[in-house]
Amino acid sequence: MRKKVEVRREEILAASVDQVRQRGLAATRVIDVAHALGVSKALVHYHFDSKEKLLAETFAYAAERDLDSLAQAAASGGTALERLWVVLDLYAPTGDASGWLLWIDGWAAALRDDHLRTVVRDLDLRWKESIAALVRDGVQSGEFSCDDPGAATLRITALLDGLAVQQVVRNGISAQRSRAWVESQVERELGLPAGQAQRRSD
Amino acid sequence: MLEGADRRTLILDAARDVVCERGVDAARMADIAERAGVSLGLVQHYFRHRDRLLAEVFRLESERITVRWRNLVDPDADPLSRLFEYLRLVAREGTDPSVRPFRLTWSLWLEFWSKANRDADLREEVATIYREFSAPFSEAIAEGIEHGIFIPTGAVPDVVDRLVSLIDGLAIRTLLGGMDQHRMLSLLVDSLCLELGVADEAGKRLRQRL
Repeated sequence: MRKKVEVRREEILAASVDQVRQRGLAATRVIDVAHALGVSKALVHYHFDSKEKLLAETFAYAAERDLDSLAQAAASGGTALERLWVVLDLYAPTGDASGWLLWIDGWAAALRDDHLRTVVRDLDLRWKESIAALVRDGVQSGEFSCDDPGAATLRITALLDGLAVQQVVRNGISAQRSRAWVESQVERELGLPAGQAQRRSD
Repeated sequence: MLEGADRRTLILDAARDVVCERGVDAARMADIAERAGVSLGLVQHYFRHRDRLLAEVFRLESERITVRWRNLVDPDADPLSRLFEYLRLVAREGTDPSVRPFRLTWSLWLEFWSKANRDADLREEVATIYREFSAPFSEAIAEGIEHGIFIPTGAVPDVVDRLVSLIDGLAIRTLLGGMDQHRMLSLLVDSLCLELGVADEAGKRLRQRL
């Protein structure tokens, strides 16, 4: 089969996301992506200097779409609590392991690759900052009572991250239990009476 | 000449080091053999498949953590103190030089999580490893409840699972550079006190040890 001689950057990224989902970040090589597209390695390298750059941008590409939804959600109308839940639901979509697998993969691979670590950390910070901003909004509007929105955000998101790990790796915690725990954590952190954080039924 | 069991451990230690440095995917049997200073044949003799070898690396590390905690934390100390010490070990705050650095230990677990989903051998180890890690917390919490020191927010297994999840999540944050180990420990202590209904005075004393 004759190889294509042109390919758009975005096509490469899309194919790369696919490869990463199948193999994991650490095991994805440029040749895998090239083969999937039916192009040469050289052509991939034309767009991405190194494997590290390709993988870092692949991660960003995969994670970026969620961030667009995040921006919309955070800006939407409703009480601070309502907006917070929309954002937390985006952060931890139940029943979708593939998003979390990418992050867990990303965290591990980021330890060994500065470029990826910068990308992962920056994306991560954007999520955290959105959530912290909503908490501060709620404190200002009088909905929440919270001395330290930064610490509250750290703990809530750390719980979500850890629960995701448990769910993906161990499959030991049901989505329902998980959600109940996040609700009580949110109540505790934001000074809400028990049961108030409960969202309308899904 | 090292005994069989010692050589096995030597290989597992070398494997652990290679995994920490390069990740599971880049840890080939040949690299491990080289690091251990033995022949590839010997590694293959003890561990027929790479996957099995890797599963044992994680398993051994988990066992060592449990043993280390038992050795470093006074079993006769009150439950709250013990929990505090476990958390301190988890966050590697002001630790004994015999304890491996934060980054090395936790990078191993990140690799484990990242691979466990796809690898059957690793998946088998998951339940055991979580159980081993959780046991000291469960025991101390149960003891504290029995003595009326703790008023937990829920059933012990739930409290422990939440605590372990929080530990994992905060470790990830710390590894990524968004937080330092002291803050990690401080956040864990706050959560612990909330989860266990620790009296204000006791909580204050605990925070002074931070």
